[in-house]
Amino acid sequence: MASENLSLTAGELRIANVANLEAELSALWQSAAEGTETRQPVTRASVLTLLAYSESEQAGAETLKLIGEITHESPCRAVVMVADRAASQAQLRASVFARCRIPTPGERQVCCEVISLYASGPPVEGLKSLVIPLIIPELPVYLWWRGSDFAPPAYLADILRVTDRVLVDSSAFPDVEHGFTALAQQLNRVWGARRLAFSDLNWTRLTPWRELLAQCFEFPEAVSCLHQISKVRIEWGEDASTRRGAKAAAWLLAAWLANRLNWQPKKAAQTKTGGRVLTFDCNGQPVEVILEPAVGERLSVSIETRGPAAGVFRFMENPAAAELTGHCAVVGRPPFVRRMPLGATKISQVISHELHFPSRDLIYEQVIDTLARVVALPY
Amino acid sequence: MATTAVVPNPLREGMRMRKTPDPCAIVIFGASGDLTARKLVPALFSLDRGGMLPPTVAVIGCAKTPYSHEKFREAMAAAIHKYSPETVEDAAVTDFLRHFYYLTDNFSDVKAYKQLTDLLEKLDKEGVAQGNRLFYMATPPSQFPVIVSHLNSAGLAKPKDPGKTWTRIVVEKPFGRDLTSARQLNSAVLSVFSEDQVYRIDHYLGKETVQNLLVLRFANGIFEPIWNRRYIDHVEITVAEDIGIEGRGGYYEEAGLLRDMIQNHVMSVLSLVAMEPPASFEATQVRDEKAKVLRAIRPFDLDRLSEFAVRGQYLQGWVKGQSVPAYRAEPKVSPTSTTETYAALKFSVDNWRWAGVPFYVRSGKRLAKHISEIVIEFRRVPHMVFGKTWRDSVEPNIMSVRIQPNEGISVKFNAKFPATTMQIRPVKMEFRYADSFGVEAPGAYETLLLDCMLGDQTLFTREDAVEMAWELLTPLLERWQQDGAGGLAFYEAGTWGPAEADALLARDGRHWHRL
Repeated sequence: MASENLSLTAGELRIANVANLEAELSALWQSAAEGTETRQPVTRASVLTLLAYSESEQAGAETLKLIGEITHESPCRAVVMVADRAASQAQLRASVFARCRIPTPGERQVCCEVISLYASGPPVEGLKSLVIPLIIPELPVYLWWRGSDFAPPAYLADILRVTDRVLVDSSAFPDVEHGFTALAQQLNRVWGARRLAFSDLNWTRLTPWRELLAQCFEFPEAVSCLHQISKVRIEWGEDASTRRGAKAAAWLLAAWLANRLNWQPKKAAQTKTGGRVLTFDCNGQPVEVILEPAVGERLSVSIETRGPAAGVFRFMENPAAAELTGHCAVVGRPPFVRRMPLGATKISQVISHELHFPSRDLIYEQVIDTLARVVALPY
Repeated sequence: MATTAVVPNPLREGMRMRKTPDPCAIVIFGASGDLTARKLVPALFSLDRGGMLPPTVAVIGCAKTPYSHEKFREAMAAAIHKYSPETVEDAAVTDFLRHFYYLTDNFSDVKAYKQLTDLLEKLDKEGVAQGNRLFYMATPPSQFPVIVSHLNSAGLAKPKDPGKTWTRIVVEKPFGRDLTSARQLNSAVLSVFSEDQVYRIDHYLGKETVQNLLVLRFANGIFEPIWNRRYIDHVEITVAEDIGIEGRGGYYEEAGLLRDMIQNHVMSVLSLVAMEPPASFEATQVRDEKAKVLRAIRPFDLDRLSEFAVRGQYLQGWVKGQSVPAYRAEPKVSPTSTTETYAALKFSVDNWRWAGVPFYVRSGKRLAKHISEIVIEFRRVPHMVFGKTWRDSVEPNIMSVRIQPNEGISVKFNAKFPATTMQIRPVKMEFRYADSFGVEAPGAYETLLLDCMLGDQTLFTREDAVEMAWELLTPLLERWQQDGAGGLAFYEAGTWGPAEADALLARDGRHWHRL
């Protein structure tokens, strides 16, 4: 399998319309087929259409770089939109590229199309007229939201009507509570005749965390502990740029536990450090969840249980070993340690992972719903 | 797929990651052999790199060859570097091998199991293996019964703490060399282990494309309605190798192609093509349906054997531009050997779905190319509306499932050639894994070892399937044994096999598809 990408052809940025784009794509493949640059027979491959939306040229440029890495694993037609509505100059321009995997001997060269669209001023309203005809029929359509809170402008409505799944990243929410509340509203919104499926890249990054927690409660003594949890403490580090999004991740983990264990939110209070103490009801028993910023790890979780199967569970990141560690101690069983690789951390890897799942993530939707109820608690 | 969760865990619902297996000890008997170095350890390393192994897995190599723990680790490190598809860092390999151990002893002797028991106990106490044990039989089959018996005597065959820990055994093919020996082997293993502890491994079933066959059939609405005698004319299964016996003359003289390829790989693929939809992709149900297919296959009529079976042996020829010797001129092969290196068989599956649809299978060494493919040929249109000219020349639709290399699926259909006159040409729609999915498929041993650690038997062969396959093929083997050189067809190395195999289909008005 190929390990590198190369840009086969780069068109000059210029004002475009649909007819020109199609013609330019045809010309692109014609030149590729002749092998003038690659000297290899070329196969055009697509398993989906990936639309990326951002509101600044800088974000658009970053997206274009990442698209090259994503298409390596998920061959697709990628349409990168930049909509700068506030710009004074009215523009609509486009370029097309092909991203190709360098084949190993005997392999065919597989290439994907990348179409870059820039709109500023009133022409942003016209983006949909370029994007919708470019969507490949009968294949899944993903919209990668490169903004902050997911609040799509009206001119994206028709694009969302033909989209299957939206990829957001709650780590980019400037205000976590507000961001999740806004997202919860969008989850239930109907576009055309159906609801969108959502992926949150921050939730994807939590997959190893959830797997580790699930594993530590896999055996009979520990499963009974799950319903006897008395206290959960989730701390996030917020002193480094690499830890961006840790607060949102902490909230997601808390809401996931509450949702899966059927805890009902009762009250909230603020801590001195700006964190939150949440109280839930679990079959008449209180469960205290403390969410608090801390110096140190990006994320750490400790869980205490009550009753005869009392236990203490501590989970933390070990970035040097690129793994998570769970220390578990339950009455009636020797203490044990579980480890879990940290998993995909690069954004292109996380996106590629999400592109494998076209259907709705019902657990995530339930968690966001729980989260919206929790952040609505007065404190 | 089924997992081994003991109690429902609400945190697990909706998890996209496959569950990581429990910590365990993998005990490999015959660990100094080629399989351990070439397949097992690189597969475990790859699983570990992918985060799919538990935090601690101990591997205990057991064999007569004198090695120390350190020497074994060195040998396995070299094997990982040699056989891993990607470059790997020394530090990662060293870390992976930290719980590798080696016991030098004669494991045909019950005394040898004392040190194994002690080591397992020590690893359990240290929390490395946590009482879970996987015994891997990488020895010749003749040693299976005695090892199994000694495992039992040593108290290692049953789960250490039932309900909380597990003990499993992996048995490598060949699962016997005929019906009698297969029954003896099954009986020996099942006298100590229960069937749900036994994992008979056929690496062919771990291949991604073989599994995709089930997805193709049962996750698509358009194929299943036409997957029957009303629409399918016949099925061809080819498992062809361009290599010879690669210095394994001694083994091959005893085995032959029917035992080496048809009894396991080809029969497994045939049952996946022909099986009814299982109620779910769960071990018992999938294996029940596969067994039903084998049960429905008509036994060979030995009085008319030439109508159903061809056996061949390769002569000197040319492969990839190199002159290669005849089978009889290979090292450790008798110059008068009658061992088959090629077989072509015609099976009939006597049930409602397949009555009257022949399944032609062929497999051989030193054939024209290395390829494994399933070809489904559909019936021709009942009436050709484009006139007599096209009546016989329009080709039937073909679906091809390529198992290796260049895994994928293609469909051939007819289209109008652009012209003012009616001209019909066959064209091909093609899906190739490498084009559509930019990720490497896991190796067959990776898939199967992980399934084994997770307690999922779906892709492993059950006792009844092994015996039914032998029940069909043993009379054929015995007849061939009796016939000796009589009826043995020869083919030039580097070709598609003997002319008699072409005649097998020509008799039915068909021909092998060009691959």
